[in-house]
Amino acid sequence: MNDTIDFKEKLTNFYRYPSICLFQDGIKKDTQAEYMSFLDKPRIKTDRQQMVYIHIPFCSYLCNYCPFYKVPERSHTAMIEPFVKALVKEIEMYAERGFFKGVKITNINWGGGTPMLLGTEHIITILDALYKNLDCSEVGVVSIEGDAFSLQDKDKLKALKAHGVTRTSMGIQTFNERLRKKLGVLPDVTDVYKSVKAIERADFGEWGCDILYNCPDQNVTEIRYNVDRIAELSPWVIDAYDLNISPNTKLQKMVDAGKFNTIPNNISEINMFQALMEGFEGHGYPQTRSVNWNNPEHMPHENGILNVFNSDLISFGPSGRTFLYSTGKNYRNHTNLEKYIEDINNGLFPLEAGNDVTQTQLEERDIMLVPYFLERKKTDINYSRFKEKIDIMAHNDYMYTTDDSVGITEKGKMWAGNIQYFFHSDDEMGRMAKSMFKSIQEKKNLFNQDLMNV
Amino acid sequence: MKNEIIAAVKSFVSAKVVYNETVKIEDNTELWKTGLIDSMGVIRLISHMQEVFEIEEFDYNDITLDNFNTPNSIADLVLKYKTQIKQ
Ligand code: SF4
Repeated sequence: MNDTIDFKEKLTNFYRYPSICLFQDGIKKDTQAEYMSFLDKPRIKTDRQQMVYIHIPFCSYLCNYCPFYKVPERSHTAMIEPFVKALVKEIEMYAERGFFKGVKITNINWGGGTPMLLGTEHIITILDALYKNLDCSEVGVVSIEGDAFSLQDKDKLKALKAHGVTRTSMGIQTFNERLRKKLGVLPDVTDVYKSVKAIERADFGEWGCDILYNCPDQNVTEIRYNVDRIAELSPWVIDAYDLNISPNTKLQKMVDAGKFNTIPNNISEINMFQALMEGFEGHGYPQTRSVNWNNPEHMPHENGILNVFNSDLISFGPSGRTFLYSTGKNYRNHTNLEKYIEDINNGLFPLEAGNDVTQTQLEERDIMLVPYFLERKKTDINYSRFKEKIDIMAHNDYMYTTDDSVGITEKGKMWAGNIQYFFHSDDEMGRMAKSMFKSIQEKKNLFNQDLMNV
Repeated sequence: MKNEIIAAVKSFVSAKVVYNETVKIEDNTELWKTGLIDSMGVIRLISHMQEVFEIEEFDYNDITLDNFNTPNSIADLVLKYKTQIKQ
């Protein structure tokens, strides 16, 4: 191991470990009963929270950078009703088994897709199914995502609030109208402001937003402008997404066809992230995760979404990813709406791929999450196992240790993804490369090995 | 031929190295396990090798840490494909 490490190429953050790969972890119908047999035993006693994710796969337009599973709402309206029925049945299928009996859910997060596109009555139907089938008596946060079109309806927001929704989040992405259009983000900046007004009028209080950096045609001046506009809106939390142009994707084809004037490179990516860090800190928003900044009056909730990656998470809906520390299960639902509905209607869990996570891998996941959380207690990780690597990172000023904690330094904040990758096992690195290779070979998206935006 | 392949790997990795640019890459330097290149870097290296040495496509099962860990092991793999083509 060479002790001098000088990161050059910024890597995107990792949130999930180990990865799930359709080619290496596919679950066949005849083996799923055995894979899911963990549901018959009660969840072990654990301090980890149990969170819920609901994936709603409909969007009114398709942004050309987005790797998440979604379908155009307009061409799929006939599937909304069967989808909602299937989702409710999926929740019931889990609740019937022993695993979740007596388990208190702490957070319900709706993502997608654009969950706010669903009609109020459909959202309430799904919420009621959760409230009825799972123990939601101590849920602290119910969050629902929308875009700048779907969040303009104040009455809908009020109705959802009355039904237990506590938080919303909006994909703002950028205030640059030209870039919005090129990226396929249809609502304009005026719609963003209208949505923020509606959220305020509905008295929602807590809301967050996503913004993009490292986009083609984007520069540091624009990032600073975006940060200033966002700070004026005072969201509780900001999530910054590193836009990566993956091979095979529509965006790659647009770049190849010369549709953009500038394409990001390693230096511009570093400069843009630096501008985000300085900009938000300058507005008094402390960095609370490797890609998040919080309003100082509203720091991360104990049971909020920013703690999801070290909690047990059960996901419903197509492409939903479940990770259960308590039983070492790591799986994903079909990234295909038709298959999702069909499996559930046939009484099957709609699984596409998954693996069993060993204790060793759980420890790797926890150390891998240290850069994401910026700092962890030594007792939260297997410190002695990773001490040698931590020392190398500390020697190079990427990490620090104190008597009881381990964290990343100011310099390390720029390189969170690289530090995470440094802690990946040989096996995981090999699996990731195989997955990327096969995805590229089969002209699939690297994220879910599906056809999103390719 | 093997020396030519090793040289091609070394020069590509030197240009694309993620970590320490002062590190001297030897025939048996562990590129991947030490994190000198990441998974995406390996993918770039693979397509570079395919292009330069006119290999249609590596077999998925050959994308392993052991095959791609050192310039030496990569050269052995490339040679295997070149020999297969000649036969
Ligand atoms: S970014 Fe949001 S609105 Fe755009 S396609 Fe993806 S999920 Fe839909």
